[in-house]
Amino acid sequence: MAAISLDHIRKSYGAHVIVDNLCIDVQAGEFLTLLGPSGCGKSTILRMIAGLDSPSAGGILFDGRRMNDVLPADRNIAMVFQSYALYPHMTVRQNLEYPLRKRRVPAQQRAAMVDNVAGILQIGPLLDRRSSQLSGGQQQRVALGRAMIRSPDVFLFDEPLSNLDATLRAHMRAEIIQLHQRLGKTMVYVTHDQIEAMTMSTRIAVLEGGKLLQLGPPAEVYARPATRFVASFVGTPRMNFLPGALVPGGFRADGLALEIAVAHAADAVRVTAGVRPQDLLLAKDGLPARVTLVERTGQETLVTTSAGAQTLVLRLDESCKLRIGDEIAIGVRPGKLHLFDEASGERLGNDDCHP
Amino acid sequence: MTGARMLRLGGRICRDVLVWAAIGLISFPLVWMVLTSLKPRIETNGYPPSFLPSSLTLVHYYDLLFRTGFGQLFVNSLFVSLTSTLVAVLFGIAGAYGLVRFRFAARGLMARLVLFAYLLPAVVLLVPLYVIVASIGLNGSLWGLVITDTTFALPFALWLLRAFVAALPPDIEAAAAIDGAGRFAILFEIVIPQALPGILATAVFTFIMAYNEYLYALVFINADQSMTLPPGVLRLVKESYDIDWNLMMAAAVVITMPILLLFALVQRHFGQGLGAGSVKG
Amino acid sequence: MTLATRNAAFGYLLMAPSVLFFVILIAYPLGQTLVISLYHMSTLTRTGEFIGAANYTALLQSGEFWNAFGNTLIWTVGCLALQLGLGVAFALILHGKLFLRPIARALVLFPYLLSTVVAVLVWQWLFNDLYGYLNYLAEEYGVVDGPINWLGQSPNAMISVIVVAAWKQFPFVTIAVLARLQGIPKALYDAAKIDGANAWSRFWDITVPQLKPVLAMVIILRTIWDFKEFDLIFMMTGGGPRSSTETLPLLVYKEVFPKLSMGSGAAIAMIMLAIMLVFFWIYAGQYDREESARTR
Repeated sequence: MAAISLDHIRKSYGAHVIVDNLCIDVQAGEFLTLLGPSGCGKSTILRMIAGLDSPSAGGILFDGRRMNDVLPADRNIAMVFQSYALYPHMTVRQNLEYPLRKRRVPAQQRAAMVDNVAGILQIGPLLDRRSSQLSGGQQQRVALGRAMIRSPDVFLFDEPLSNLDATLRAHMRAEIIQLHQRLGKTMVYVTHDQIEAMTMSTRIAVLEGGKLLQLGPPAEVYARPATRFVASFVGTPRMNFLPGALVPGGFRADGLALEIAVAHAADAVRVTAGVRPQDLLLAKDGLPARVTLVERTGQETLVTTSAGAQTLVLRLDESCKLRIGDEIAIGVRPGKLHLFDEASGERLGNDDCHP
Repeated sequence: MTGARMLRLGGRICRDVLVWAAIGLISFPLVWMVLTSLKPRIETNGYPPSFLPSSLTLVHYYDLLFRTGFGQLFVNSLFVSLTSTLVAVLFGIAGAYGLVRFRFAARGLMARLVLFAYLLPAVVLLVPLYVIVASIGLNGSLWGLVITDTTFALPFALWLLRAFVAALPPDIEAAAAIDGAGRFAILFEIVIPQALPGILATAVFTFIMAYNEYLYALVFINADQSMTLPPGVLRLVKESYDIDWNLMMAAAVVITMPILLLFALVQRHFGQGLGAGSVKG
Repeated sequence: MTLATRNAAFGYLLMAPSVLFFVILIAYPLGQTLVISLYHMSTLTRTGEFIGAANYTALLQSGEFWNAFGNTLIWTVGCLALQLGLGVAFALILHGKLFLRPIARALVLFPYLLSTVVAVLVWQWLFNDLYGYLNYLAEEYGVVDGPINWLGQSPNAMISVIVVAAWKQFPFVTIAVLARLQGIPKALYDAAKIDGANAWSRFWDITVPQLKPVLAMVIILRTIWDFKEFDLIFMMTGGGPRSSTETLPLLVYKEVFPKLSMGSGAAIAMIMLAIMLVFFWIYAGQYDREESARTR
């Protein structure tokens, strides 16, 4: 177990900056997820923690010890790759043994450790197959086993579930959560999938363009997104956004007959208001809108509407009888409006939401 | 069978017969080579020449191996080609891996230079290489030839190997680095085993290239006992007043044997190797 | 030392043997070629006097040089045209359905693997004026009365050598084109069929555009290789008869060895290098385009 500090990390290739002045402290035993769209620098950060890439500036510290110039082999970490990265010319057993052999673990002990891991991951019958003969899910299990086998201080995961189908992904997600609970090791997990981030993490770090936008527990990131980008990235279906301005007494949406009272009302500040689909409801004297699309998943109904130039998505229950073309009126659940500065995208106010 | 189907089948048979005739035409020189090498001399030098030999004989092969200096030429050629292939492939693996996987100044320039050297006409270096080899006293020696052959084999091998190494997924090497493998362990335990088919193919192509080398062998070597096959066999032709074509065709067959053998070994990678060097895709 | 520096250092270490080889046996000799080309120097003594660009001006005024230049042009274009025609035709044939196709492929590719010396021996035997099979066939079927002098007179010699070279080298084109043909997604043809395209327009609208990049690469590469070909021509004809098949590489050899005029040989080599650099530049550009198209 180790705490990891990223201290003012920067990574650039020439003028192209990939990670910009990033500070994150990963606590020992924590499951931290780096979440962001592709190209946000999350994989580069992980590779720098692993020692596969070197930061252009700043320090990487494990338990306070500077690791920048320590070889990946000497960092006592394990990493699971999106491509699984099993050694194709070795059998499953040889794959699992490789990190042990590199650490000169005696043969007898190796065999026992392989059997133990194979038992936990239920890959015993596969041990003598070549990795190229395995299915994607089996390969990912072996990759997980190869990471577990030598009890590293830190586990690194680089989008490990992206190449699996939906069912298998849910299953492996559960397995990784269990792994974290059983071993209690520090884990850093990179993904672009916000469901993975929400369900697995102790804390989430949301990144965009090499910058850290928000770092916090999943519930907090969801309830109090720090920027408009975070708000739009976390949560499905996506949050609705309405351009508008703060006027005395509340928020007024551009071009719509919608005015909502908020606490932080100020004069003539341009803002974007965000409201999640489940916080919109049908209200008699609400904003008039027309239904343009109805999607029923069985347990809920997503209703897309257009109000003026804006599109608003509502999440209603399965009993909803709306059809395309229906005229409705939309209201906002009290206290569920998020306000973001229009220019900077930053959240206004620290409350959960604006009353 | 309906009429249309029969017509289509007939068309296909016609087409295949025509195509095979064309292939026969392309292969004819080779067939003729083998046939001539197995015919009694009387059948070759008579009129009309026979197409299929009326009796087969191995006498020309016997003569070639025991009555001429061919055996020595063959040994010399194998020595030069194998040595330069070994050097070129060893240096080439290291160079290709360095070029593909490590970031350092002038990396792009290096890759460009390799391509340039690969395409460089041998004759452009004829004058200075002759001077260099002569000045270290290696003209007339097979070692001089090893040096010049490697000069052209190395960029070729490097260029082919570069593509093979670049095709390996880098994550696997990263995984090994994290699993505790040092830099040399990654090269020997992870990279080389994965690239082995490509390395074999490269070795075969490099061997063939060195085995076929003619210009420098012609220029550097005068003595019969250190001659390689291409100039040596031609000298056999030129020196005889009455050329024994049966013997020559037997020589052609024997010269082709090692290539045929190696080709059979790496046939699966044939197109791949060629493509990697030039026109992959 | 930082990790990045250590990684770079290891990269240099790996490159070192190759770099050493390049510097000593390619870069330095190239410089030497340039220097020697400015000297009047004998091949035997390897000493001489500095004469500036005199070797070059003498060359540009000599009929021998321009003859070789013209021959090189004819040779390169002739080889290229024949190789491309044969190569593409056989690629298309071998891509389709064919009885015993794997054997057909091996047979067609085989000439490319032959030693040049073997190709030369076989064809000299076929071309032989007394017992050669080609002359026998030509006379037997009444095409000609006397034996054809395939290699001993102009322009027969050039044509014969080009035919032999094309026979030996066309499989390279076949392999490259075949590889590309196999890489064209079948879905493209299916889509075209659904859109109502017949076999002919499928060929023109799908196959041909897909082949264009590979053909561009093949053309440049084969041009470079044919341009520098020495072995095959020299072994077949030695440049004769009366210099009618003497191309630039052969002229370099002739200047340096039979004529023992190292300086002027080096000057021709430098001119070849300049021409080759143009092709190299085109090829490298095309290669980069292909590479970036592939990685995108």
